[in-house]
Amino acid sequence: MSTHNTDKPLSMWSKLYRGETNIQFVPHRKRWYLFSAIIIAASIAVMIVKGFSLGIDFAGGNQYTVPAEGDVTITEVEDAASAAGAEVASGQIAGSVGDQTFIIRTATLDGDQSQEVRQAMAEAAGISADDISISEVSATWGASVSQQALIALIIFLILITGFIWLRFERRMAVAALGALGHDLVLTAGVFSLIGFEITPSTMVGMLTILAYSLYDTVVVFDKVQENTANLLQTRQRTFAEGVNEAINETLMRSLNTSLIGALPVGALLFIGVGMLGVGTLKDLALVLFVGIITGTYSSVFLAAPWVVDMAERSPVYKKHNQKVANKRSGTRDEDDEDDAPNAKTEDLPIELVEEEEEPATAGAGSRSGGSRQGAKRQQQKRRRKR
Amino acid sequence: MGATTGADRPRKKIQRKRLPVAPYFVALLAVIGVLWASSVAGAGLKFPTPKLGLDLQGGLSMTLTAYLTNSDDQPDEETMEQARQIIESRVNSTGVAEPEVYVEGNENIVVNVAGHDTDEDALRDVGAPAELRFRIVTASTQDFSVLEDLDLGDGEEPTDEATDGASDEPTGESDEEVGDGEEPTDETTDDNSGGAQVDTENDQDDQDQTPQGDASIEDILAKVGEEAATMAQSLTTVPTDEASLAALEPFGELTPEEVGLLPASVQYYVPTITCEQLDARPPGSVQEPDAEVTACQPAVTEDGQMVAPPQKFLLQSATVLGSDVASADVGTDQASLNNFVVNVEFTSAGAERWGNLTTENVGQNVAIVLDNEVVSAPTIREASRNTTQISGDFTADEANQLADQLNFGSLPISFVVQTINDVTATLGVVQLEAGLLAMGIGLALVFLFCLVYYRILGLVVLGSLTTAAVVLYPLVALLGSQIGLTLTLAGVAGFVVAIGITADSFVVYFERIKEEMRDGRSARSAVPRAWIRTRRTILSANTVSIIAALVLYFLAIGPVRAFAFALGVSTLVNVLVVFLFTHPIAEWMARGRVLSNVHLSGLHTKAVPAPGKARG
Repeated sequence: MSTHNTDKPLSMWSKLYRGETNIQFVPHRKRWYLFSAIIIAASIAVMIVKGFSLGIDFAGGNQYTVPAEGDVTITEVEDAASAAGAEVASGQIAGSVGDQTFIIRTATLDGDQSQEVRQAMAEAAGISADDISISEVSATWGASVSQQALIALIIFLILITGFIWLRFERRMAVAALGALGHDLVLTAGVFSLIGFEITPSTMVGMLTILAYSLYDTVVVFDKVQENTANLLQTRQRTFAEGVNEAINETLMRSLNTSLIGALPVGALLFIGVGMLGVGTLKDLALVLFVGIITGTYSSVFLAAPWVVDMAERSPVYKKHNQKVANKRSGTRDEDDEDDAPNAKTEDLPIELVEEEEEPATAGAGSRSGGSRQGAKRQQQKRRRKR
Repeated sequence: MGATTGADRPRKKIQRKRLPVAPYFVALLAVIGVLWASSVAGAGLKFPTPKLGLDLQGGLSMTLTAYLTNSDDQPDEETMEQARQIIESRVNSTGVAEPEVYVEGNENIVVNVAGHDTDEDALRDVGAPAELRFRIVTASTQDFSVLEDLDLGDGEEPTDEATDGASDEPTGESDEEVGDGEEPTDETTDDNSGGAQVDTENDQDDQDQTPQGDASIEDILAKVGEEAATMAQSLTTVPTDEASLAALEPFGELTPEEVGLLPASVQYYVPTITCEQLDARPPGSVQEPDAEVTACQPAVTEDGQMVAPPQKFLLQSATVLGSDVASADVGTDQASLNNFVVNVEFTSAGAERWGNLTTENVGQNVAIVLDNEVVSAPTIREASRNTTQISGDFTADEANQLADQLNFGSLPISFVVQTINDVTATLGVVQLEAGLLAMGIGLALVFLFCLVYYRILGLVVLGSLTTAAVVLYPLVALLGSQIGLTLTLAGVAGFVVAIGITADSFVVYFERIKEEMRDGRSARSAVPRAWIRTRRTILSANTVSIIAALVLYFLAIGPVRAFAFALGVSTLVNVLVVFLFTHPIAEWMARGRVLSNVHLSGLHTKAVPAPGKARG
């Protein structure tokens, strides 16, 4: 399907830059499916085996109230607690100058550990351990927050399916949801594997990924729809080939976008891990980093090929594939394939196009609704231009 | 469609359709100007700063302690969680700030809100039980303490008082006058013990114990002295003569807790028990629906002038409760639009009870009692069933708060505010600085990449992202000051990701331009053509984000809601910048020669377009 024969062969980079690559996304889709299936299975396995560590906001923890005396700083007390084995979730100074207390919250500790931490803090603060009060604190992320979020998500997914269905077609709506599920499972799996904490920040990160994944898929589908709008009226390419070409043409966009999205997040991640070791930032950055990469991957390698799979099950596309095959075997010698792969229906008189459209529509029913609308829109656009 | 016409036609068309870019830039400048002006105004004519979250700037921390009538009881975990959720809903209903509400130990609930400029009183109200009761008024009188003040001012006031209900003096009054001579000694000793009592109370408060002394009615009556006690218990009207006032004076020294233990009739008829004492009774003092109670309606002030003094009410048992309210919303008074009212709709069972109450008591006053105070006490003109209106002296905020409290339900247990403290940020400055540094480096890398990859168009990306930042910053600051949108570190990171998504719009656009030019078009014709297709893509893809933002904003709560807000805002800014900045500037550049230069633009125009390959 190499369409552009230039004098000298282009390097891979140039091809990529010009959108002229010919990577077999669709023909080799079984490979990507297998690859993704393995990754997803691994993610689920990791989640089942390792589970998630819930942050203090979800699981609750301990709160130490340390009276501040002398010139001890909160950082010293926090460090002492960390050294004694506590996972410090937050440290705040309460009260006004002169009458301050440090409020330090940690993940749940059992009795002995808790006493050790208390002792360590007391030493760091230069006070007696009895002055430090310990209390258990509940989760701040209540069940109602999760419940409401879940309801909102379900309604959102229903609406978004409706939107993609109307704007594109049913198959694309299904594929977009599938890709979304893939991204969320994979991100959660990586999260579980690395053992980062589930915090409100990371939950928000997951939501960001959800929005990004759908956004990216829609951009790719937009291109696919454009490229395959008039496909059924000609016998030049099969649907699978059309989709593959669309993915290749939009590949540079996908790469650029994910790169631009991932660069700041990556910087956050590596500086977060490298400089700070712990904290909200690192967890959040990891979710976003993994999510952006899988979001881009799934749009290109999974969502679009899935659409092909679903389309090829319908009689309309089966018939069309047959037509293309017939044409290729029948006319291979006299009419070079390279001659007119890009000659879309625009080059044909309108009347001819409409005549050809009829039988296809009759067979397709509502299924080709999306592409038919696309074709009409294209025709109108063409008419306006003439 | 011969090749000859095809060569001339597009050029003419472009010439004709040449996009006037100036209006776009003017519109953009207008938007930026309005945003900055309003955010500066919102910040009180200072440089606007976004409202930072608890993790970045700290805020206020309030500790609420459960108050139980029996101090040995401990609230169970479930009750505390229920209370926590209601309090959280109340805090959240005021905006998209991200408060922290958690249970500490067995009986404390800690509420942390961002910002040090939060209204403390409003924060206190968050912990109010919000028990609503509708009670028929038995009697009402003005608060004694106010009368006393007025007495000092002018001597005419007592007549007023007399009409208020104390026309016939009880015969016991003269007896009491005899005891008057002894009163001072009693009073001094009582005063001391009373003072001591108050101190103990305070100590207990500090030790986060529920302040519930072992005091019984007998102890309190003993404390005020036998004579005053006997007199108080025999009262059936509010005495006004100086002798009885003097005799009853020890009641004025009681703590609010002690007052709360007295029988309702004593609380009402003893004029020396002031509204100040009554209002400060422990939460839940007038909650018992079956009991007769005494409560006050606060003074009505207008422009700092008291137009109506506090009123004391003796109230019958309640048949209609807050749990009978199905929903409440804020409206304005039909008579005056500046008066805010709360419209209440009853449940079916509630409507039944409300119907009975109003039918049986036409012509009487019904007091609407919220916690310890009477909100208003309108006269029942006719029987009503399903709805009623609560009109007090409300500001819009107060009315909203009351409606929220009724909607979210009352707290399962009462709380007293134990402490309100300033707290510092939960994340260290180190975290914030490292985060900002990382994001800075990340953005620098993005710019570098765009410059290398898109060359001259990279500058457009740079300009667009800067424009996005210039629009976003005042918007976030404005929303922070107006609806309390707080920016947590996660939020900042979210906006950075949003910048990535914003950049995607440019990438889509430029890739389109590249594609068009690869097909053999000049920059001049490629740019407008690419825009038509890009616009469709951008609008489709951003619709997804907008739907996500709207659904999550309206249905979710807490941090999820704040996320939805950030997503929606950044998506709108994205669309705005692409339409008002990126597109016009690309059109403008296409007119020059810059984009036609391969080395500057990185756009390859195919030297010899193959015949028939150019698209429609």
